[in-house]
Amino acid sequence: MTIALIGNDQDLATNYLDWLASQRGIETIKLTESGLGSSWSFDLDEGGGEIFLERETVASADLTGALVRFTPEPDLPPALELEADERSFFIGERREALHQFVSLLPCPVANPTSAGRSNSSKPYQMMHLSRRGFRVPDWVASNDADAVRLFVDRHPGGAVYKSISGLRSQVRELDDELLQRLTEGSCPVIVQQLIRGREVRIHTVGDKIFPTEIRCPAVDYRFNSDGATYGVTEVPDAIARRCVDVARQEGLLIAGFDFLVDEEENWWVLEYNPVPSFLPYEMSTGQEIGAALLDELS
Amino acid sequence: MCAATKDGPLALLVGSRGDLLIQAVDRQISCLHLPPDDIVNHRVELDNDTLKLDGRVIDMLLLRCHPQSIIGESFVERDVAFVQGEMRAFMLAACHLETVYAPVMPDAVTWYEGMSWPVWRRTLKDADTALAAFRFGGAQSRGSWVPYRYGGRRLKPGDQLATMLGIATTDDEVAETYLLFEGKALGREAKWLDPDVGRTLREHGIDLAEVAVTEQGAVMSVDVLPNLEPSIADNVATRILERVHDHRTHWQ
Repeated sequence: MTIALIGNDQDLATNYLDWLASQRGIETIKLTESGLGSSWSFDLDEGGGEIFLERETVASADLTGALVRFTPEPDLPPALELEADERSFFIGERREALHQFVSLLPCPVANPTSAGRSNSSKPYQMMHLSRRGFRVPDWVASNDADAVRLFVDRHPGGAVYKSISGLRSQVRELDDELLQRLTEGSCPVIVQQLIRGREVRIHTVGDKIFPTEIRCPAVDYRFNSDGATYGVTEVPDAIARRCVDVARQEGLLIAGFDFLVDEEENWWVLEYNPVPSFLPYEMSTGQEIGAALLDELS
Repeated sequence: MCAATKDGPLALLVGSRGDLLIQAVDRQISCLHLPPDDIVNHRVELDNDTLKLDGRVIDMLLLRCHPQSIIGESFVERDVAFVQGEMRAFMLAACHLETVYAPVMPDAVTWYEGMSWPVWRRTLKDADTALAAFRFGGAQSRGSWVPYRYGGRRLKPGDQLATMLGIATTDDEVAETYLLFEGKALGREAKWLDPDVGRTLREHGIDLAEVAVTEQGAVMSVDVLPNLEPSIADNVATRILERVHDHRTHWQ
């Protein structure tokens, strides 16, 4: 039984899974992005193939699972120096090679690099979540101050704004500063109806769910967790089933769905993340998310 | 930007002014035409129902550019990469709006993987399409090197660099290319092409594509931004406009 840990060996979740595997006596192999061509290489086609390590060769068919966690700014291989344009070409080609490598593995992968890409465009993802039956807060994506003002007028309860892309950005309450910036000329932002309530993060791992409630006075607890409390919570069956279904349809072995639950117990989905940081939720609540993921990979 | 005043649906054409399909569509419909690096300089608005550019509702969006070419060069240097990411995210969502007809409507995977050949290979593999024989990784490579992001063929690099890049190689050659619109070949019979290829591309939001196949009919590559001959461009533009009218009738 061997699990491949692919990508970034500094990643906390990767190291945690590696430790959990060692506790169970499961072998792991580390296939780092920067080590491709120096500490490991591969030869694969659609029928399978081999992974060459420094001291052994592993058939792709012998892997029971793979965990993939990339870093946005990967290193070059040791001792390789390149000019800026060559570096960009090298890193782009190597990343695509790893996408191809992962797609050719015949084992469960958490997560395939192509899975959950909708997270890179919030409006695109919200359209899809809405079509799949989730309740999504009203939104507009615009750089037109007048359009944003009209949107705010329709939502007297308030509005928040954030980046449109998957870039991790702090959610802020809409203010005059944003309107001023839009008036002066800016790229579009996504402005969303403000929902007041408790935050819930639901991690799905295969068919299992791990729901964590976060109560926090700040608009975005990820950036300001002063006074935040975490606890295990209950989830309506329909919501749980929908999360599991979407994750499965998207090819996500693990996913993190973010909700706001208002006073009327309406569950408003905000987004889902294909590379969720599950450790803070596991550590705060004792839910064994990593162990469940290891079960899927072994 | 050009802004014609003909009545009827309004198209947003994103691509080079020299693009023959853009020119052909432009002759037949009211249009707003923008080079891909200029979108961010206009007022844009998108919600669940509507796409607007400078306050005008858009009925059709024709993307004739790679996502990488949507950039924000007019912003200060430190913001360019950020603006690029935001605009790419915006445009992806814009072409998936139900009220907008988009002949090229890439899904998130296709879009964020640059619409390059490996993403089509994976898509067609999932649909059990016959594919040209490739080896991946560079450790035991033979044949020509086909770069993942740029396509084409290059001389294979040395063994060490080949494994560092995890290169893709093939001995297969392109025998025929077919231009597809709505899943069917234009202009001639696609005798070597599996009809499921066109169907699969349509299921993934692609009405217009050029597919290259080997003598055995195995797919070598898919180009969703093909160059078109003038007469073909006019033909495709006419077909696109028929779809725009159908789409508009449905959503009004």
